[in-house]
Amino acid sequence: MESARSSERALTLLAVVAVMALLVACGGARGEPEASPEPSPAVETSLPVVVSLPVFVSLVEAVGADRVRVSALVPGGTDPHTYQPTPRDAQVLADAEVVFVNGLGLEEWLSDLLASAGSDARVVELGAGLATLHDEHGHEESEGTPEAEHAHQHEEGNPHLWLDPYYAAEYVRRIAQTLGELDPAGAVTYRENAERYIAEIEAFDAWAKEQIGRIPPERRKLVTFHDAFPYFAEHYGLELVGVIVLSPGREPSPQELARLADLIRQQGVPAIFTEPQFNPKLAETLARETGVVVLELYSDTPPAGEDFLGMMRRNIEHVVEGLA
Amino acid sequence: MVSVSVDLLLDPLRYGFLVRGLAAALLIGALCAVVGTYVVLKGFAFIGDALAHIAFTGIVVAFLSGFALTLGALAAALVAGLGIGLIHRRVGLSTDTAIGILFSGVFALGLVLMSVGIKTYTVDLFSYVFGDILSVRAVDLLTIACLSGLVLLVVVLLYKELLFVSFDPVVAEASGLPGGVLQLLLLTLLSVTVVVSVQAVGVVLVVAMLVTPSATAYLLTDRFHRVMLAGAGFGAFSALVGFYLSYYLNVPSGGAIVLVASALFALVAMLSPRRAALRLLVRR
Amino acid sequence: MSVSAQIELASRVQPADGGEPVILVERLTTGYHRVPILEEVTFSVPRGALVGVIGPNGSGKSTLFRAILGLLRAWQGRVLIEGQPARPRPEIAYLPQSETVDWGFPVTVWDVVMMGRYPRLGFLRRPGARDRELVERALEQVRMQDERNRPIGALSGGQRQRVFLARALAQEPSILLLDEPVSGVDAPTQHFIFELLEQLCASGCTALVASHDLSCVAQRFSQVLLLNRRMHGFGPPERVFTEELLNRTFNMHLMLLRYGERVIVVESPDDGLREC
Repeated sequence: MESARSSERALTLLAVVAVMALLVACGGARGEPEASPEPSPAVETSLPVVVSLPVFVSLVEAVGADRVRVSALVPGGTDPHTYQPTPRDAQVLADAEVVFVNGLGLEEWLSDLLASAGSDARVVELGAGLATLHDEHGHEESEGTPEAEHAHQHEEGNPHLWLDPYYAAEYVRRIAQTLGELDPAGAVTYRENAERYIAEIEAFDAWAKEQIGRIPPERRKLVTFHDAFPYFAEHYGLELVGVIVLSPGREPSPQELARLADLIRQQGVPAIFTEPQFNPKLAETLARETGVVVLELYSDTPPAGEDFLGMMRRNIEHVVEGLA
Repeated sequence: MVSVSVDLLLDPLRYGFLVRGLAAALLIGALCAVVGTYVVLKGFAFIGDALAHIAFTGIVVAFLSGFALTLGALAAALVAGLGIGLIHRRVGLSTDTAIGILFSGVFALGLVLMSVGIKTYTVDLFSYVFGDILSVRAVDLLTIACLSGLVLLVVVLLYKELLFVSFDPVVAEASGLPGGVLQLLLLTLLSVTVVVSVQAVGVVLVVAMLVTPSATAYLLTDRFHRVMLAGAGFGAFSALVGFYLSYYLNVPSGGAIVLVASALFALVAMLSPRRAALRLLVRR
Repeated sequence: MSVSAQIELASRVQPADGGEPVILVERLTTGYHRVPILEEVTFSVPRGALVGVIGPNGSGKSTLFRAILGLLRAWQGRVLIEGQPARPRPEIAYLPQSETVDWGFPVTVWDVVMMGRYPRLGFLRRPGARDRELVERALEQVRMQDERNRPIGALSGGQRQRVFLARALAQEPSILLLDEPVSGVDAPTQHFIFELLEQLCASGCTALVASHDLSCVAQRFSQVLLLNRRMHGFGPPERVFTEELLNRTFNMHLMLLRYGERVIVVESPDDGLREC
């Protein structure tokens, strides 16, 4: 049938295009650097550890060295608030002996995953019990629904504690304690490594404070993409003027964005900070509207090749670059 | 009282990005209705939906390969439009099933590629699914304006030929008009319109902008060029009111625009004297 | 009828002035999807002829028209229009069985008839005064000038036919192809259409009318082509309308009753009469 043949041909052509697209995409995907850190070199007897966020990998490795094998659930560059776990994650959890998570509502998807994985790994919430900030963004004009929504999301307070070096050190201590309990033979090593790393953190903190000191006080204003930096801001004496995305996955309405632009202009904020895992377009729109620069900060994923301290150093560098 | 309402109108316009967003929405509202006149009368709505979904996958592939997203969307939509047009011409309406399978499959491919191939920017591409009028840069507005202008120019220049081919394709072709070429041209115009509109209202709602304002116009008038003009008016009006609603009520712009267009249709359908037209619309 | 006899018959209908036939069909074999619909059809039509193409449903009348219009390619044989190979052009106006038209389209009678001018205008040109005049005249010829602003969907079947005829006339055609123009149309309109056709052919137009209906039309044509896949007869109706040829064309038993000048065709002795 003449017509059936040409319609078949057309459908075949479209199918070929689709397959070509798939091949191109796979090629493109392979070209992307794998940001999710791979498990540390396996010593046969090493302890399998799973963490939720990529940033915790370097903390655990700093303490455990080659006595542990660490992998992260959330791939690098993915928003952990809206992460959808895969069956492979359940598998990884089932094989682990200990799971370090942040807690405080950051990994809401985790409890279901743990239940379905049927893992008998020990789960440690690194942020549990620590004094938290409840949401006050300094975002004066937003009221009503968005605030209430965000507060509901973080009932126990904002979870992004580790960006304050003081709390990061506390995380390290807790990691060392847990590893020591699970692997008493290495307890001493763990404690020594932890203390060494904490000393590094303190050295970094001193440097950071000196760097921040170079910013004129009236320019120490922070506008970030999502609300990950209240502890960071408070620790370094920066004023958190506003946040673009009030709750992750929910884009601001036109009015919210407009109000934020007003706020930036009024307060003379010199720069706004986005993060790699988020859509840069909103930040760019805001920057174009207000004439400020856009720089990147990192919260849950260190840039490729960096560990936790490297990530924090980059954050400080960018803050100084933007605000000084 | 007057100054309060003037303030209400002018308040969002103080911001460059909102002015650009409004301009883009107005252009898209009018453009969709003009091309949508053909869509409503010829029953292309399904094809319009298919093109929007396929354009999304074009965007994903373009993103992964490092090309400009608009180019990817255009390439995908044009290939799909021509492909569907060729199938349609040969085999007729029973190809709805084939088209449906094809475009859902391609869209699903786009979703899978988006999560597998991309470690970042998932939110960025999702903005094409539901529309993001807030991020219209000056260059985006220029692109929208140029492509809209091009489509409108073609519609004006070839107005009578496209009308004849749409109304009576057999006799149009028999009298010497290049019927097949003109039908493919119409699908090409539809593809370009879909790509331009995806930015403002998103893949999911584009078909609403193509169909609703011109269907509303069809209920009110019985001359083709008037349906087109009235439709453009309704489309632009929906964009304007939807935009302001989205600003003051803090709701997504794409949804607000389509809601206004739909409410307008419902209002006109209830009040319209042209019951026969309503029945004809329902039958399509 | 053998091929040679067909060709002989065709050649006997050269116009008296010896001019080129307007339509020349030679051994045309064609169809769709590798299924042949027409086989070895041969005839030629002189200028000013009013030709009836008669055959049952599915006999290939519409296919023949498509071939003459150049919409369908010949597998074998050829079709020449005024000496040129057949292709779609404004000089040939076509009235198909109008199933492909969208009746809900927002166009008026005037809009539809004006469409007949579009192929003559070419791209980028707008209709002018002369075009409006021609549309007006076409509407008058079909007596629809008072309905010019009515939407096409609001017309009766007979009125729609007249409008499409007006559109064909607006094209200023030299050849008219009408496919079943009077099926489903009331008797006064049928009569009116044929009167109009006779006038047009008298002034130099050539018309082919396809019909499956035997009852009224035979004597109004100057030539009749009996078609059922093959050509079973071509020539003036008094010569072609024989029981033998009609039976072969329609695959039925038919009886002809001559009633003075009228011819009445009936299906079998037991059937009712159909009369003009």
